[in-house]
Amino acid sequence: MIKRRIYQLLLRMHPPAFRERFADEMLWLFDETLGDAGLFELYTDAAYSLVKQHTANDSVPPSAPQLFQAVHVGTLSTTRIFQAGAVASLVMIGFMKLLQPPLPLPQPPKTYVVRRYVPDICSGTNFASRTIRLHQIRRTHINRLAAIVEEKK
Amino acid sequence: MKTDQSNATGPLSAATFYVLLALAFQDLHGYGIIQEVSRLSEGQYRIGPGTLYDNLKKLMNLGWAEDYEEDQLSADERRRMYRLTAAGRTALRADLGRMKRVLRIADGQIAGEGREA
Repeated sequence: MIKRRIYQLLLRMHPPAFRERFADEMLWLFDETLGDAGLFELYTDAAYSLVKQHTANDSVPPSAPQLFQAVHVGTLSTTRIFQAGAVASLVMIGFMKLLQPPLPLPQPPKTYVVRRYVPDICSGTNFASRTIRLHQIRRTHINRLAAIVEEKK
Repeated sequence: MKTDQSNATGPLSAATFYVLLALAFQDLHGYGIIQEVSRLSEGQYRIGPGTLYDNLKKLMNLGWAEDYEEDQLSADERRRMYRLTAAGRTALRADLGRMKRVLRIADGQIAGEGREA
């Protein structure tokens, strides 16, 4: 039965601890309530449960009380004290490194941008004035070339 | 150090409240709880298997409910039963008390508004 298979798939996606404990019962309830409740409702309910079980943090062991519990004096052996000292030193070195001002970063080499001069011929407002300006530039250029040729002669 | 969970939590959710209420009268298996919740809410509230076992897991973690195997039935019919613990009963009573206080305040407020009008 495909409906049951889909529900089983949803159950299989639950966290193992929850699945081992409740999956059989949930499947039994699925069979029992399928007539009363709608199939969509049951799937939605299982999907909601799936999200809740994966986001629930109750599987995290209660570490905080253990972390802050009193240390028994009898457990403080020389080895443990040495280990604790080494760890504390490493933490301290790391902390001091963080406190140091950062070293100046090497500056990138300066770069020069070479730009070719391009006469501005487009600043005119109309086509006629632009054309006249272009002619002037050409004439100046030709005159310069002629002067250079004459100098060489 | 063990904290008093019944005081630590706020108002119970509808699902948690109904599951606790269903178990307050008798020990039930999963399907029995669903049926009892439907009966107690006069069909207004229904919970699915996912919601039920999510709540049962939470209640058992809090120590408000516990489960056990039913011995009297055959292996095929054997179902896991759930019952309320003393802590669960206290939590239910605390939430009922909170509801009563809210109702009293709300009644007073509504009655006051009626007199003003």
